[in-house]
Order: sequence, then structure tokens, then C-alpha cells
Amino acid sequence: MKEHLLKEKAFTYDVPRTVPNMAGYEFDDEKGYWVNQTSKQPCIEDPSFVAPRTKKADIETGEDRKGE
Amino acid sequence: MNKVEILIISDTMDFTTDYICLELQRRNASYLRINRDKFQDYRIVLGIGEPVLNITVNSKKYIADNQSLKAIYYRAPIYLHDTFKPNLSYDEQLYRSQWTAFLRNLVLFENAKWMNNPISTFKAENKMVQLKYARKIGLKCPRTLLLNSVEEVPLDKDANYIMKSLDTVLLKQNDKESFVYSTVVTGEELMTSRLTVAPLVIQEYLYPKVDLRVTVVEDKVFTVKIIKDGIGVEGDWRKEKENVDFIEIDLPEDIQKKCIQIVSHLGLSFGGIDLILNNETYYFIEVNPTGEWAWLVNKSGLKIDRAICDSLQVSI
Repeated sequence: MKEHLLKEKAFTYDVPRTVPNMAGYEFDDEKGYWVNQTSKQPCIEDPSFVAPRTKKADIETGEDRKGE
Repeated sequence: MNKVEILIISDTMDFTTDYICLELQRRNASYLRINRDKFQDYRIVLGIGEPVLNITVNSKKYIADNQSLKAIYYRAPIYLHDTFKPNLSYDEQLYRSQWTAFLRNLVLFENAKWMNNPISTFKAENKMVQLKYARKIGLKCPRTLLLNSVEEVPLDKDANYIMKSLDTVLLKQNDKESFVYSTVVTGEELMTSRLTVAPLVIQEYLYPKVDLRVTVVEDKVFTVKIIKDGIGVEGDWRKEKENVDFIEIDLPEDIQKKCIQIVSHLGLSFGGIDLILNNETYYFIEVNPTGEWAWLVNKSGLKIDRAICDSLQVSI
């Protein structure tokens, strides 16, 4: 018998995975979102910020990564 | 003292929540985001009776009580999925278990509108329960079995099946982590695998198919089809996430209505539903009570953030 299929077919990768580089940004507790340290503009509206793109975006606590 | 009308429970690195806070700020709403990775920076006192939650963040005092608190946007786990975490200190273990329990206890705010209430999420996150509800309201579902043995199951060794985990699988060992996508397997592979160690879900293989993501916010429905080079993706589209397009479409009215119904019947106000379109038939795959949606705002311009804020701002 082979290994359990959930193990056999699992996609394996190295950890830690890429952590978001938040240099230049700060979390504003009052606003409840990240801002650019200089412009104070919301990080998610900054074109240079890699915003979440799919439900498997690594940096998100997404639906499959909640509970960590 | 700042009265909190909308309490948001999240994590600092959850950028999806940024969309909600930004939109609420633009609407001059009275909201507070607390992040479960920053509890140590807060000072929190929760009283029962007429429940009152006092929170101090950076010397600023907030109060959420039965009168002021209208809604809670809950983007946190209801239980911890990571089954293996070596070398956690006592403090870290205490932090993880007790703050998670604190979040669960917030369900004492029974007058607030929840998106979603963890009690409902607890039930709704179960795949087999979802399928039962979906069938009950008339959504077609792939033939599905939950099993740890195929001895008594008439499988065709040459046929394809979809294999998926019953719950998110994140296996960790040393410097490696493994994640299980929905995977196409053959009957033979199922017959020759040692399955007894853990149950899994096998489903009828539907192909050709187009994946649809249906985001339901109460009675609002946002749907995209997920295609690569103009056609559906075989297997789990998330393996192709960089190469797929998300195209907004309208669902047939009866399917749309059933998507709203299943979310509502599970006691949810939000759900990310996965459907498959196969030979002009819509199949229900699953609903994610904690589903992601921000990528759809970015990629497809869907106004899901606004719909969520609309919902949070409507008093119950």
C-alpha cells in the first residue's frame, strides 16, 4: 500500500515562505490599516505595494490559512 | 471615551481588512479594528450583564456595549488549524489558547449583527453539512463520499475522481510545509492507498468545467468565472493562480437565489461560494464562511468592500 493520498498528493514547499516586506509602511491603529510612512496614504492604494491578488495570496491570513 | 459601533476582529497582516477600515473611515463610521497578533499591546476588560467591552489602544479608550455596538466583522479563526507547532513557550501557548477563547466569548454580544458569527461559522465550515444544505435547497452537487476505506465502494480503477481534504491540510515538518489542493486521482490510486489513517473526501470528476466564485454579502451577489486562455482550468485553479482571469458574470436568477439561500440557511451573512459549470449545469462545490475577496476588488473591480460596509452599517 502506498502512503495516504493526502500526503502523497500534497504540495510541499519550504518554510518560512515569503513574508511581506512592510519597510516604509506602518500600521495605523486608529485608522485600522497600513499607511505609507511618508505620504500617509493607505498601503492598499499604493501602486508599488503588492496587494492581495488571489485567495491563495501568501501574505494573507486567507480562508485556507486562518487558524494559524 | 470612543463609542464603538463596528468592531473588527482581524490580524495585522490581513490586508483584506484594510479595505473595510478604509471604506468605513471614508464613511465617518465609528469603528475599531483589533488585531489578534497585538493583544498584548491592548488593555482589555470585558464585563457581563449588559456586556461592556473596554479596550485601550495606544492610550486611546474605546467602549463597545449593547447600545453602541451594531456590528462585528469577524476575520479570525474559530479554532486553530495548525496542529503542530514545536517549541512554543508557555507564554505563547497561553496567548494562543486564551485569546482565541476570548474571541469566542464575544458571542455574548447577541444584539450585534455578525459577519459572521463564529457559532454559525463552526457549523458552516463543515463540507458535508454544506453539501446537505445545498441539496436541500435544490443546488446540484457532485456525488460525494467521505471515507477512510474504499473496500466497499464500487470504484472504476481507470476513472478519475476528485480528492480533497475534509478540512484545510497544512502539514509541517522541519523546514517544509505541505498544502493539499483538490486533486484529480484515479480509482486505482484510491484503491492502493493507505487511507485508514485519516478520512478524505472523494467526488465525482466533472470535466470540462468552468470554476465560478460567487461572493454573497447578504442579498448581494458578485460572481466571476475563472478561466485560463479563454477556457476552464482542469483540477484546482489555485495551482494556476498567476495565469487565470477573473471575469465578472451574471448567474441565472434561480442559481443566484439559491446561493443567497444557502448562506442564509447556514446562519451566515457572508459566504464565498465555489460553483462549477459543467455541461450547462451549475454544481455546488463549497461555501467558505471566511472566504477571501480582496483579490476580486483588485482584479475584477467588484465592490465587495462597499457591500460589506453597507451591511455592517445597517442596524439590526
